[in-house]
Amino acid sequence: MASPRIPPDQALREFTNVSQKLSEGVHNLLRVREIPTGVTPKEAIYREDKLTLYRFKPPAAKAQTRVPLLVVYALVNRPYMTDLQEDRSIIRGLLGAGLDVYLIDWGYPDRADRYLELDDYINGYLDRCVDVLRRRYRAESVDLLGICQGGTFSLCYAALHPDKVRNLVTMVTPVDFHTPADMLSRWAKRVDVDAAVDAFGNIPGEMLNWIFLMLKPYRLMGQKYVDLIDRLDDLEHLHNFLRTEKWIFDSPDQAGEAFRQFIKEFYQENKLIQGHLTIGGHRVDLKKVTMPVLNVYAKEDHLVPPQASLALKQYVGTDDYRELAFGGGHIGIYISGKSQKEVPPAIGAWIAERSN
Amino acid sequence: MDERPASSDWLTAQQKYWDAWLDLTRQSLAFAVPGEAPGPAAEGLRRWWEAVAPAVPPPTQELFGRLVDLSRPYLEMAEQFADRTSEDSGAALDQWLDGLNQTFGATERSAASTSGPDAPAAAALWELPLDAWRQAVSALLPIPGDVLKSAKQADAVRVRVELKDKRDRLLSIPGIGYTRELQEQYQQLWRRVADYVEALQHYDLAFVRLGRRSIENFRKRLDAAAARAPIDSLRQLYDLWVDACEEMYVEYVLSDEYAALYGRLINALSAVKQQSSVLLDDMLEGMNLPTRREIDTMHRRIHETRRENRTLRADLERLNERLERSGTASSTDSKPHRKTKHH
Repeated sequence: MASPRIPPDQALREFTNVSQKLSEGVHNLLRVREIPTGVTPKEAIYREDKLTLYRFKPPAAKAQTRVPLLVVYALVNRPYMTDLQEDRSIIRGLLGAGLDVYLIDWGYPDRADRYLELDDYINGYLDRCVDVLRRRYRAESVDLLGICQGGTFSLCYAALHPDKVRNLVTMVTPVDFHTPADMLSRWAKRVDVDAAVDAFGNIPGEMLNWIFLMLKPYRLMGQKYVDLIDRLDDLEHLHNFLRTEKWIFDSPDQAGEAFRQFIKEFYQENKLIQGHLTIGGHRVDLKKVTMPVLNVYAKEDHLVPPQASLALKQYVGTDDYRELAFGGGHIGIYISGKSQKEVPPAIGAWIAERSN
Repeated sequence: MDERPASSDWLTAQQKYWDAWLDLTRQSLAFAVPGEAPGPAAEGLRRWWEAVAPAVPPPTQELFGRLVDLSRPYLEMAEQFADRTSEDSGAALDQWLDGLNQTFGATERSAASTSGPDAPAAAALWELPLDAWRQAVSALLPIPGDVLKSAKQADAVRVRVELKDKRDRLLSIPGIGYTRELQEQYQQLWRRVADYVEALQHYDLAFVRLGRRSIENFRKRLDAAAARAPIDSLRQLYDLWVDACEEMYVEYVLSDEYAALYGRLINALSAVKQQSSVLLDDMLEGMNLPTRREIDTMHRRIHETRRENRTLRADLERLNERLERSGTASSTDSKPHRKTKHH
């Protein structure tokens, strides 16, 4: 084994540095007040059960498109990750690109929501939100931007209701659930999801937190905090860290029946790409996705491997399919400075090209 | 204006104490005799934090406690390196890795716990997944999540092997009398708890083995990194260490063996939860209180009724539209100059 050459005074310096940062860091931590999440002003325009449909207020000087963009986020995390802070907000970027942005906040399901199925989410809630916008804009169809699991939902929706979707953008969206690097799919293989849902009713958010941390345990539970010590004296950095930290541990419980279907039919049986998936008694045929599709994926995504997203190209029926690769990971695509510069403007430009 | 809270003065005093203590530690490390046991700096940090923690509000306390815990292996490493000459830093690293290896070996041979008082702080890195699991489970089950935390593998495995048969026989004794069914329900619960504990032990052991493989991988990575450029800081060493662990972890968790362990753990947990709910429902029923079963039934019925309502409402809207269209069409036929109404 090669030996490192660390002089004792270097070790002493590093020791002193970490100790001092920790000691001084307590003061900064005590100065942290409540961490606000979601920074762009918004108004609720529709509510149903736990769901709220928001419209983000566009910048006054910016002309907006005539067809709204509806952002469909995952059920497993909270959507404020798309609008975390002023300089790290996909929503702000989309508004800046001239889009009229709406977002579905699914809320926090409780035990009264245990029997909600994917049909309720996709043909129910999502469809009614789309109808609200169609009426509001007197439009035949709207633009959809589905993120992560919300992208899979948007894809199913577009296949089931192609006449209501003008353009579809999927972002870090799993499509093929059996790619070799897909950890979640491997882990789900031997889990008796029927027993879990029957026992727990709704799947607890604590369980999801653990699953997500286990994707990179030593980095997410160890190294990340050691990195923070280096910057404990930077109050702004500390705030940003705590915002992301809040989001990571803010996983809503999952409505039992919808979770059962999602794990069994998508993760365990990979039915979406096989054409065997039915939702609400209707077959989800990806060939019916005939509207323009922009597939945004992250090259270093540890949660949705790039191959799981890129599979989409083979299955959709559209002639107008494009991909946008982001050089970062699943979280970085929401919050990195690089993403703010690249992703929302590219989505805006792509939609603008397809807006008559 | 000073934004610091009232407890700040006390914290400042604590900081002064820490600075003074740190200064002493620095001096003792700087003048340490090579080869002697390292000073108790990492342990000092823990004690300092125990004194400060009560003055810190809970959310901050949790985060900072984590920072202190995670910096301990780093400081422990620093102590060992500060104690040696730079030519001798390889020996310091060897000593550190050997300590880890011994801890894992002892745990695997069922003689110690990776989180025991004598284990190196770095061994706690492999406890992170299990710690997170215990925390999650604590919120989900009536039994404590850290049910096995203090149990040594030795005791747990020995007890499992020696007593499994007896336990199974004991838990299979048929119930008698009026409470026969209840006795069987409790037997079922204890069987499931035992299965869960066993699944957790297997999962735990897998991480201990992973720890040993990670040490080997770290040595290989060290060779590869040293061939590119000399490693001359602890931070580089620490990052390399984390990379080596993550690499072995990813390889392992994509295996069928891990999928089986993982599935067994989750399924065993579900089984305990299910049986706990059955017993709890029986108790609630005895107290003439609503049970989970009854509430679930109500929720299912309400859900079905709402879906039927929506379907009926949609049908009604379609019929109305059709009626309006046919009405409009007939009135357009009779009054050709009237404008068609748009919806």
